[in-house]
Amino acid sequence: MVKGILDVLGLDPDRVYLTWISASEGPQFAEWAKRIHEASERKGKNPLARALTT
Amino acid sequence: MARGCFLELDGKGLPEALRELWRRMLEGPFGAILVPLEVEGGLVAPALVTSPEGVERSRAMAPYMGVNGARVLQMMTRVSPPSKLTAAVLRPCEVRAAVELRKLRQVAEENLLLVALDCLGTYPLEEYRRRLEKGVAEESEPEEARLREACRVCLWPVAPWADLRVGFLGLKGRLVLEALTERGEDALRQMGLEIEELDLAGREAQLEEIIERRKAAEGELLELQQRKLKGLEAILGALSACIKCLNCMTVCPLCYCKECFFNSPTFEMEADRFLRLASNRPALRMPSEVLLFHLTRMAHMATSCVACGMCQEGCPQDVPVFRLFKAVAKRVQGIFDYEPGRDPEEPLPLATFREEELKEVEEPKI
Repeated sequence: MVKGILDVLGLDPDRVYLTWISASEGPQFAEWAKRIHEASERKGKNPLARALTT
Repeated sequence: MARGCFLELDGKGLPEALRELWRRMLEGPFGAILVPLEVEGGLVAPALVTSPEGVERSRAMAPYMGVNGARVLQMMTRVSPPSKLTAAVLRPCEVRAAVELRKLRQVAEENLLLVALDCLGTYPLEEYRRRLEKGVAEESEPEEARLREACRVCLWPVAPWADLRVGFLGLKGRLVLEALTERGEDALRQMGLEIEELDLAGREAQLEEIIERRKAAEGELLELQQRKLKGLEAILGALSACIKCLNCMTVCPLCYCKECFFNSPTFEMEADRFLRLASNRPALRMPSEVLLFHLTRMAHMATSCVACGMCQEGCPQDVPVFRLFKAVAKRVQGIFDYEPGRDPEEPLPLATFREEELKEVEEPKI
């Protein structure tokens, strides 16, 4: 739903992730943290971070 | 097949025939009705009437809606349901909002019947006042081009659900009273009316025509949003006029949180937090967090948004809130194949657990 909202408004929905990780899945958590970090590096700074209107 | 009865107008105008109907309801099983009524100064507002003489001032055909009636029912039945049988005469968007609020347990069911009157749309306040000055308080065929934007793209001139539907569209010289629930049928019987199977083929054909026309207008509006109100620049450009007065939230019948997040301690920030926000960018526009405010509202109520457009009427800054919310609601309701107000038994998408759903947005398991 959040991705849908952002897509309609033309705000990058690929900056939102949804995944299920149980408390016992430490390695998966680490892997996702890594993936999201890498994806954010590739995308660069969120354009909203420089906007005057927040 | 629809069940209920027809009422012949016998040469009376619609407004007078409706006043007679409300009178009949009050003389029958109803202890009170909520109905649009002319108040001091001439403007029309929803009002509670408990005696037949109060009905004289009712103006159900006034093409003006200052407040969504579902909001009124929410306020009125917050503490307890009425002890006398009460009928709320509402427009389709008000009934749909009331159905959604019932799902959220914020509008009472006990002793409260929802009566939906056909509606072709309402004018903005300024336009309605102009008409009042010309002595026109009620109109059965309002001027489409002058209607509020929300009304011009409304696909529900007839409510999809209500206890009773009072219809005049597509009928010549008569009204139809359609009972969609047992309570509705009981009420008609207690008013001394006989219930029969109704043939509404002619009415339905004309409704289809209206809805086709409205669908085209809706398509144009959504296309306009995608063309002009999309992307960071455009969205911030539109929201930079927002003064965070929270009017859109206050008048929205579906902003249902009892305590708003934006009035919570989370937003009671120390001055230095604003300075920190400002230090990362060329400047910080104040009040801050308008995008966050509107996005949060969307995430909360987009599934139940009935597109009544009250948010737009409440906005003193001309932020195109209706266009944005309409577009977002259309998408979100499509995702869940959900139509707010269509059926009181249809569960709220966000309050329903399905083990398998929306796999397409879920990241793969690793």
